[in-house]
Amino acid sequence: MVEFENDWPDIIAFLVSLLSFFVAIVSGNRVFGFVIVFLVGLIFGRMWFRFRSESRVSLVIVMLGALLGFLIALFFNNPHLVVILFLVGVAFGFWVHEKGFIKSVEF
Amino acid sequence: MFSLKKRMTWRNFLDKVKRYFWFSKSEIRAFIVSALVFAFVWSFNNGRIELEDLLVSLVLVVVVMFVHHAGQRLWGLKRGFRVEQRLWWYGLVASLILAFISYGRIKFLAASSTMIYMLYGHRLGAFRYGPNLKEFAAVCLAGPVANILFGTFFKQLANMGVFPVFIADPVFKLSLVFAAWNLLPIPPLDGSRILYSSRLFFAFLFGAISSYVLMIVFLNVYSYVFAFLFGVISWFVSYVFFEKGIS
Repeated sequence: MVEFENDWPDIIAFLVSLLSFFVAIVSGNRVFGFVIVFLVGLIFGRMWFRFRSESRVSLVIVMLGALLGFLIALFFNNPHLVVILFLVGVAFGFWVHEKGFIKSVEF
Repeated sequence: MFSLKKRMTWRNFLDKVKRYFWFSKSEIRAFIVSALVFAFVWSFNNGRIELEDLLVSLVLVVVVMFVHHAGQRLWGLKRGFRVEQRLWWYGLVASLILAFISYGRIKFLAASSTMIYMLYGHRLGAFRYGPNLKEFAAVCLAGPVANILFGTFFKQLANMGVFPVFIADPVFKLSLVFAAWNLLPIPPLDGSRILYSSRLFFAFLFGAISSYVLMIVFLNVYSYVFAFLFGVISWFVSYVFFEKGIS
């Protein structure tokens, strides 16, 4: 039995994987798909920065969900490039915030 | 003829503008990043982009964003607050993702958040002053209102034949789109601050501005009066169905 209180990272990861799969499929164009993978990486980079002083295990599960969705959608294009672009996006998003180039708000 | 008190207030306001109006370094950086992204999104059509469109869009976006931010800053200073605009990273990236998914059909142009800080030294003697939801909402509202007035002003000049249509039309369109997106009730956009302040006022505003935009898009009618009426209807419907009976 799935309980939201305990299993919320897995549930959100599942939803995010569906969303990322849908987004990559809808983009249609292969290049746009790769660009979107990078952009989603940027979002997770901001989240990685946001949770820098807390446990990131839940965030890693959600990120893996997103990556899985993209990998399934773009599997026959170039799965290695998907992983690389996603990680580069996360790293760049984190770096931009860590260095203080951008000061963005949460809410 | 101004009274002495009013002249002092005007001087005080000008002094505040000189001291606090301009953007900080981080705000300028955020402004530039947002302008570049929005210019890309605005000029991205049918999955293509052309350099000429991009440059024209960049100029338009810079002007419209500046009007939005300046409106908020001036109103904030008038009410005794220093206003700061910050970047909303998720909104910025979401605007790019939406543009790519929709091949440029969805132009989401909202990626800034507003914050107000009290100018203590300038409000001594005022009664019960300080930041509150109402003042915060008023400052946030000043941005979209400035955009709508600015766009309408140029549109009217073009209608009177004293300003070229090929400049006025894009300015008008972009101003409206920018104002409409920023009024969405998604934190930290301007609309969310207005919603927190007053749900009924937000209903009025949402009805008025959405009807104004829809009348232009579908009927080619420019009418503040009808927009106001639709706003009142929206307010009334919201009151009857959502607010009535809530204590």
